[in-house]
Amino acid sequence: MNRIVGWIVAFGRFWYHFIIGDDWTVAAAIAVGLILTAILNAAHIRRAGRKT
Amino acid sequence: MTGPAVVLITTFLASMVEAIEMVTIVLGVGATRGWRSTLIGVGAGFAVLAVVVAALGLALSQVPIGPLRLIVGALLLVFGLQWLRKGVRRVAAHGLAGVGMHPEDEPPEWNGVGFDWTAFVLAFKGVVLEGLEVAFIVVSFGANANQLPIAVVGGVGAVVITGGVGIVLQRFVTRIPRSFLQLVVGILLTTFGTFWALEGLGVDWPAGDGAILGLLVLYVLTAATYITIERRRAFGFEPAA
Repeated sequence: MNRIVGWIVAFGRFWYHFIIGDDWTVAAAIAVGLILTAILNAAHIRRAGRKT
Repeated sequence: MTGPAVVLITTFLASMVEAIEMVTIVLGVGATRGWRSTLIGVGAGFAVLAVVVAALGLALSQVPIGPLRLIVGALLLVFGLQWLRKGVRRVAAHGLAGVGMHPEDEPPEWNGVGFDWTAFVLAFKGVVLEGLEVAFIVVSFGANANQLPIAVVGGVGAVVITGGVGIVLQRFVTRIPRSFLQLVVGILLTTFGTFWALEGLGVDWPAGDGAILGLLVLYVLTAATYITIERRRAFGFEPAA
């Protein structure tokens, strides 16, 4: 059981270091930027839909 | 029905735009991180692409590419901005004198023993995404004009010719110092990452693929501004914040 947990933790650490790297603020800023863009884009589509 | 020459030229030119993006990423990653893992990523990407194209065939045009663009774009943005930040710091520290440095004088980005997964994944993603876009173009134009074999020749021809140009350019790119190259590749990855991620979210870029040039100019100006700020701070022209 401990070995499985160890593998899962190691797997998670690998992906964290691989994607996030040494500065988590870059990934966080990108995530926030993309979420805001998605919200703004969706709002624009809804307004355009009402007009037509 | 559209003539064969029109289908050939249209698919060739449209596929070339995607192929240039593919080769640019592979060339930049290979020159910065090393060629072994990058080329394995390219090979794996083409293998996956071949399996997907063979399995789906004409049904390929039904595959939703939006989520794929969003995931690949977001990852390219993460890697691109990290490289851009390091590139800005290194070029600000060395100045333009760094351009004259011999590549062997600089340490390579990848010093670890074993496989460089970053280079592999970046090359793999670039080949799979751009290759799928070429396949979409071929299937769309070819099926609509009932000229699929001609469209395949146009698409494959564009990838082969652009790849050949990339192989020729590779000699020159590897002569560029890594600190400067890291800045350039960071700008390119950030540019493509922004374009694809927002396309994946459903944003319609003005001028289509032409918006990539606008983004490129924006990030070059941003990098130049930050290099100037860093250099002024380092040389004491302005007090540090």
